[in-house]
Amino acid sequence: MKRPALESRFARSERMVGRRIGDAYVIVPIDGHGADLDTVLNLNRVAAFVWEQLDGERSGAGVVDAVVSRFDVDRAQAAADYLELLGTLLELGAVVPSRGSAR
Amino acid sequence: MPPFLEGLAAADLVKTARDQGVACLLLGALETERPAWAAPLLEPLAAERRATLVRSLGQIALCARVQGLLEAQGIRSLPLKGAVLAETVYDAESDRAMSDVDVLALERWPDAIAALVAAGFAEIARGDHAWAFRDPGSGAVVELHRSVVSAPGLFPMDAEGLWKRSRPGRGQLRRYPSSEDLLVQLALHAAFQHGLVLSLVQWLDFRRVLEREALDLERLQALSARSRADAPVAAALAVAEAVVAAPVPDALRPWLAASLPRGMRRFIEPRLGEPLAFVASEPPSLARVRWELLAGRRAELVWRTLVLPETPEGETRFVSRMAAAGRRAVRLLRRQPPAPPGQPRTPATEVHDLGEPPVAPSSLARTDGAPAVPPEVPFAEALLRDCLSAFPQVRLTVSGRCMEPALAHGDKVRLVGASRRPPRVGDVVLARQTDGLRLHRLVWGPPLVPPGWPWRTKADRGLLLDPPLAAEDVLAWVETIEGRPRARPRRTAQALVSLAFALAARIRLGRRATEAEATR
Repeated sequence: MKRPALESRFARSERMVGRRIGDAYVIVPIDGHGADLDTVLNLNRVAAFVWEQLDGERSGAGVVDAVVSRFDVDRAQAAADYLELLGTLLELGAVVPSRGSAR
Repeated sequence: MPPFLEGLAAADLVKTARDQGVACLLLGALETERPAWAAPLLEPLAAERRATLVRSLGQIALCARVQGLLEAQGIRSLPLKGAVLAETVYDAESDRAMSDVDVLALERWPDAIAALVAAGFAEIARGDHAWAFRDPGSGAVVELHRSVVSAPGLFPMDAEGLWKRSRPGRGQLRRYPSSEDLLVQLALHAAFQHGLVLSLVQWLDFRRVLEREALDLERLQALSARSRADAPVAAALAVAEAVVAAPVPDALRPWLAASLPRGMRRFIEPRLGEPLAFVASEPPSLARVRWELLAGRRAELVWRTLVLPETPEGETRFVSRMAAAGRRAVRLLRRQPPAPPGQPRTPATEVHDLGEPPVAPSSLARTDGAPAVPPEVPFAEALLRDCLSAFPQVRLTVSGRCMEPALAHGDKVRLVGASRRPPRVGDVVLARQTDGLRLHRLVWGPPLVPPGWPWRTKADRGLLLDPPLAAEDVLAWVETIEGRPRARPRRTAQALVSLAFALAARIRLGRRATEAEATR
């Protein structure tokens, strides 16, 4: 799979639902094949924040900016972490490229 | 947070919380207060919460998908109960576990059924108010309703009004019923469908709706009156207040007090001091509650219970429905629920509102992690048991000739519940045998056997004894036979002679079998 670029926009897939339960944030597939615990993804605080930013409007660079302004992390590290998380989410089908995205 | 009860095992607490549908709420409370005793509970409850979240989200997705399928056919529908509550009055879907999801079809019932079948859903059970289907993909169960509770029409459903008052969904579901409709539906379900015995989370639903939904109290009263549900609403709110401290608005109290029938009040009030009487798995007095709720409408209750909108074969002609009603009446008394034509029976744990097939009490201890919801007691036995405990005598028509001449086919007998006066050897008893309820003579039982020993019954014209019975399998005994005032149903000497003959027959048959074995 081609590595996503920071300019691209991604949106949360409609087949995934993210929920905060207690101290954890999980995203759960809700397609017609039932809930499979193995495909549930636990997100840490930063990853949960990134997940909530993936609205299809904001570019990757915009998400990284938001992370940097919210958490104590330098931009290069935030960008690398963002792209790694995005790769995982794409593999799971948890996010989809936004329409018109220059991916 | 109360101190941990001495002698209570952590695993038992987790199991009970799960059975009552409150495991995730318990975890939330423990995480907030962190009592020392809670440490061993946190991990199993966290696993439970994660599993419940995944399951609930999948169930709600299924509910939304069914709504979409119906909408594609131009059929309006609304979700009912758990799925709506999980998205509206609980903080997360994991806080409101469900055994299945319910969708109310507001129109074109046959087309709604056809839409699900065409989409590959498999019918697994039928009730008069809802059919249960299994989603072929997830295996989850959806109940498609045409009425909120059994006996459609008893609480009239204003489909247009329901739709007009409904509101857009905030989560996966497309639309929700209005808050007032939701509360009326919950009350009908609690009172009429489940005889005021629910799991804790189902009672908590009332509290959450009252706390978190902006209810228009005038509209609530108007809707209750229009759907003739004043009594169920009054009864359910009274119980919810006792069980989970549901904050019933003071402004409603005069109306609620006036709406509760006298008999219902007599039933509820002594129990309010012991609210666990309303929590599963206490057996509901379903027939009694329905009877009291429908004060002034009892003939209609019987009519709508027996005469369904169509026969199991789909016939809607009046004559066919009446014939089916007769068969249903007999079946209810004999406890023989029908299977859908050509369909295997549903596993007992899968469908909770349809009442078929009978649900064993042990099914409350589920192993699949889903909460136990109080099963609707199979109506026939519930009806019989409740009638026997509520009334001094219950009338039953004898079928079959195995008790002649003591009881003839067609005789009408008056039964007295075993809880009112224990039967004795010589009585003709109504007992649950392996093949259903039977009126046979008690030939071995009190006062001849010590407590805990099995009892034996036998048909007067039968050769052998019936299988051994536990005392609780004997529901009632025959006190009188109508139209035969001089008949004596109890015949102690005959019972003992009958027992002796049965034992002799058994010995004889055993000897023949031995001889046959020897000559082979």
